[in-house]
Amino acid sequence: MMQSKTLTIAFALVSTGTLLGAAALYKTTALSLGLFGGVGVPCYLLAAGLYVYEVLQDLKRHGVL
Amino acid sequence: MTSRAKWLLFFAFILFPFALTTVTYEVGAMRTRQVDFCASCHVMTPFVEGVRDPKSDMLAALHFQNRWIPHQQCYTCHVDYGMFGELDAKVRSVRHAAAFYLKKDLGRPKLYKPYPSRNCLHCHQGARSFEEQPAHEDVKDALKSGSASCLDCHGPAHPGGEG
Repeated sequence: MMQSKTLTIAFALVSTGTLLGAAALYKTTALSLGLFGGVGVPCYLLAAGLYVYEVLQDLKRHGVL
Repeated sequence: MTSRAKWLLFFAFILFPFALTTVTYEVGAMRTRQVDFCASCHVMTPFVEGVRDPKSDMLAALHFQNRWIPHQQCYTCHVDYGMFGELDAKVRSVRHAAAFYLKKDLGRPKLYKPYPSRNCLHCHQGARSFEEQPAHEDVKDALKSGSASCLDCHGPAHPGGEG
């Protein structure tokens, strides 16, 4: 299983991105869109990176890689 | 990690963010074409008030109030046509926003390059009102090549503009 600390960080990142995305959809302004593009999307990318890293580590532990 | 957990986390960390980003991009791109979106930045207020001013006879106001451009009036005039026209417009708008927030450049926003007459010609070229206007005869080629601007005679488009 993903390390609980990594999992918590990844969930926090996805939650941040989702909040900013929902705000941009609810009220589309230059600021809300800019925050989603500048902060929300990087949060998503980081969370995805953490997930891929953990999956690779898991595969290594099981001798697949 | 169990296979089920991997799929659940794959949905939570990859698929869901990808789907929400795609939806936000599509909806955001559509909404950024509306005049109300342009008006959501304070620095744009004089321009939007100008086009909505019933007493104004400036070029942008006439196009807006007579619905010569039915929808998305700011976008229609300020996005260059061609394959990367919209992308270029988005990059320019981000530059304006960055200048506003980072350089504290709080004055009237200025175009980064002279207004291209081909944006006007996108609608007017081929129209009788443009092609058969005697005053256009001498400048038609210059307008089409970009060496003369429609705003030389018809500008400025907005109050306080330079023509």
